[in-house]
Amino acid sequence: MKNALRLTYFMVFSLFYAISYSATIKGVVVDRKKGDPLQGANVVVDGTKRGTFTNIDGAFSIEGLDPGVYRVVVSMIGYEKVERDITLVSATDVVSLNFALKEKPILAEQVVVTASRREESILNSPVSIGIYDLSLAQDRNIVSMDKAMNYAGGVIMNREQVSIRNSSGYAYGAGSRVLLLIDGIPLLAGDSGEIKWDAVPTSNVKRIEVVKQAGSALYGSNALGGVINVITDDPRGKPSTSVSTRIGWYEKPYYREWQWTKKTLYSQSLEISHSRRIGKLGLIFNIDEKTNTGYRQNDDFKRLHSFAKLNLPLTDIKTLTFGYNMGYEDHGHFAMWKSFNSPFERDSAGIGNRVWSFKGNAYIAYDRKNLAKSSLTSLKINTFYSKWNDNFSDEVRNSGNWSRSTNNAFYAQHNFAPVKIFGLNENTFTVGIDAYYSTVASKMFHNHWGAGGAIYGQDEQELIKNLNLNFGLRFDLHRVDSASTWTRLNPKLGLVYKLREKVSLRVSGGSGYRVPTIAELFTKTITSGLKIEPNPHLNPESAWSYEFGGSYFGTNLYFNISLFQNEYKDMIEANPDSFDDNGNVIVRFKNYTRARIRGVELETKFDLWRFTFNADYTYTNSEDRTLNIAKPLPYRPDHIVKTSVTFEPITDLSLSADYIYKSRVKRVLLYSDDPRVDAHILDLRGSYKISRMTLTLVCFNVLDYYYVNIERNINAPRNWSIGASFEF
Amino acid sequence: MRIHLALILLLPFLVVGCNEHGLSPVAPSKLTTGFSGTVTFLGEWPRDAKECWIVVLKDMPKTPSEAAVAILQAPKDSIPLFSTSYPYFFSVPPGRYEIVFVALLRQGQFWGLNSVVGVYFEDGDSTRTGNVFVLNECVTRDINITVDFAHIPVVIPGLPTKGFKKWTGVTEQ
Repeated sequence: MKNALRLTYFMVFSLFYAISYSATIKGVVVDRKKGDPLQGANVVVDGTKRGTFTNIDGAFSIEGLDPGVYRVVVSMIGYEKVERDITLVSATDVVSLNFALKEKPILAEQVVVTASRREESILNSPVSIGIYDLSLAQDRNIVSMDKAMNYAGGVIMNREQVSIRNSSGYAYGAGSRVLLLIDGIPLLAGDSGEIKWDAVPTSNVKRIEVVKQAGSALYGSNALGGVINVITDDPRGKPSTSVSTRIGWYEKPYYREWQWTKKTLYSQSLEISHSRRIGKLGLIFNIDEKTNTGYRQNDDFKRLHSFAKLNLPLTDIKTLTFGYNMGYEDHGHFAMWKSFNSPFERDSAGIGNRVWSFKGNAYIAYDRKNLAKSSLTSLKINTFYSKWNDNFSDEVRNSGNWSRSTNNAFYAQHNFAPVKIFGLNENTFTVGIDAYYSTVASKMFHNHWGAGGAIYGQDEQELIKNLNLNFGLRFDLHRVDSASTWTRLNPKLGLVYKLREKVSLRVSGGSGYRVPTIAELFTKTITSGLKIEPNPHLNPESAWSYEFGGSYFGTNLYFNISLFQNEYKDMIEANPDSFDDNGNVIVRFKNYTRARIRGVELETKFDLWRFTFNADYTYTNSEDRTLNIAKPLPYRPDHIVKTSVTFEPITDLSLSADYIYKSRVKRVLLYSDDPRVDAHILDLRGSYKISRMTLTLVCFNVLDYYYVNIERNINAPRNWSIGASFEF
Repeated sequence: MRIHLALILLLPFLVVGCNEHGLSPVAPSKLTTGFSGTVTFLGEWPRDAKECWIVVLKDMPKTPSEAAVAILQAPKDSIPLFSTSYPYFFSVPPGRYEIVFVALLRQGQFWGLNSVVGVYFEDGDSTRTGNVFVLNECVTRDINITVDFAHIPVVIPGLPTKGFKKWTGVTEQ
């Protein structure tokens, strides 16, 4: 019996690893200008699916190649792609190849990790994905990631709630249809299910990837409307310390009638980061403090945030990483304006209302990257703790409220090396399991627990030359208390056809879902005339998402077009449906039977002379189709335009303009008589680098233009920010 | 050439910047708070109709005397006689209003419960009067009342009737 098992084991793995290659390519990848080794560069032998990424010394090694002529392609975010042809004469050849990559942050063909949970060229991604580096925040003197996301294509922020391609409206802070990951680890609160933006680092970030389609077939619940993955830096080889400070101030509102205080309203922040290696041990540490008076009454905040990452290479291929993110916030509560003619003031009863919160996660990650075979094993354990309390007073809560939640999770994933099975072309398999257990103790939600697990798999293979198939399946199980158990199977299918070297067409479809959060099920509270009532009978929402698109990556031009359609079932939305005896609007979360969001997105980037131009246009048509007569889903603008122009007249001097247009929201849930207008926001900014110091000046809302995203929440008047950062 | 190119790229921003500021303050008189609807009249008006009013009460009166006082002081709107329908708007402070009704005064009569010819019922449910909720700087719409002259007087659910046969209301607002 034991021998039979061994034989079966041998046969299965012989089948998977029936590879006869043996020649080797090895070398080092460095930054052309600085000479620093580049970690994480993608090195691929074109046409073979053999590939790897560089280690902390910039070194790579690809083994197991047949004699022949090959093209080696090296790519890395922020750098131009480099290709080089080589010839392997014999099976014992060891060819040394060194690469020096030239920095080119805008148009270099990008490597992404989020769309397929593994590294791949953006041209091979079966879904639309936006890639941003830290300049999204830093060049604009922005110190919180939610504000920075306002400038990402197809993304809108409704207060603190993010929506990609209008997937979400506004749900009073409960639930998120977009999954936020930090280095691949979900960061959603266990009680409200919302994104805690003040725990997200805004420095030491390598890049931000925004997946714009449902990602539930790989990421499970909450990835219904897309995924945002914040990928932090790796520790640098040379010790590096940076200190950044920013001071900002708000101008008085344009209209004298709206001016509400004679005080100067300001913001300031200080941020210190250090990155170094001590032997093989890599360390990044960051701490920052932010203070903001707010531009509205009772809308001030103080935040303290810290982030650290410790890289401990166990061997050349095994790495252990420890890390944490944590944030503390003390902020005033501005719910709605007092009156249309006092839009920066809130009702007097709520003045003094404050919320104090702490949130943080700590994780351990183990990665085993087999450089030769491009296989990768990843194990992660994460715990996320969130607590808050307030001093609100009302007839439901008397005075004060609080909530504490803990979410413990385990993630395991293995990316197999490319293998041939059953005579098919090389397959790249990804398999993984997730598990979590969360507890909530709360005055607002009462005590609850949730638990769940998932298993998923994905196969990618080249069906015929230049046509890649991506198929995935994920099974999830969720349980809330002992009352509700939900299971869900989410498939996805994608095809990518590389029409030419720099042109690809893609078509994809898949299902997504989201289980209701504790907050959506059990919230019972009153705030600013809104009485949130529990609805323990909520069902999970689900959607089928489809996308067809194409991308072009030229030398100086990037262009992407996507047509998308999402068919929702049981969509969960906040629904104000009646009044209580005191005139408070009663809001419950309800399942809309059917909803549809479809549209088109165009994105382009190009360089022209000393100009760099970015533009993104998203048109969406969103319909609540519960009734026979379709009506628009609330809080969703049909048209979103985001453009930016950067002009670099001389080296180290950069002048930019950002323009955002959002069409008038057709429908809001409350106060539908309030005037609503299109949004036109123009920002101007400049930065100048002097040796190790960078100075930035930004003017936000240059036009002093006013609009509302959420009813009775006006945007900030024209405001300024000066920043200085030193790196040594 | 390059300068021209720069101007072309910046043109959209310059166009938008032409003194446009989006939302702006409005005259306080235009910031309306209240509710509106339509009174629809079915059947033939009584030939001796003298005055017709739409009346709103904040609270449902608990006693006949309380009701009399409330009705005397209530906001009212005059309806032209012999109308087939009458769109109305009440400017009232934010809050909940427990009853809205139409009252008709006929020649030789005094105001009384039998003057009530139509009541606002929520969702057409004639067993309970419809509450009207008014939010700050908002107009609550579709507070519609049907007066069917073939079915009067109307019984108002919840309104006390004992010893309260006649009203001597003020006929001017």
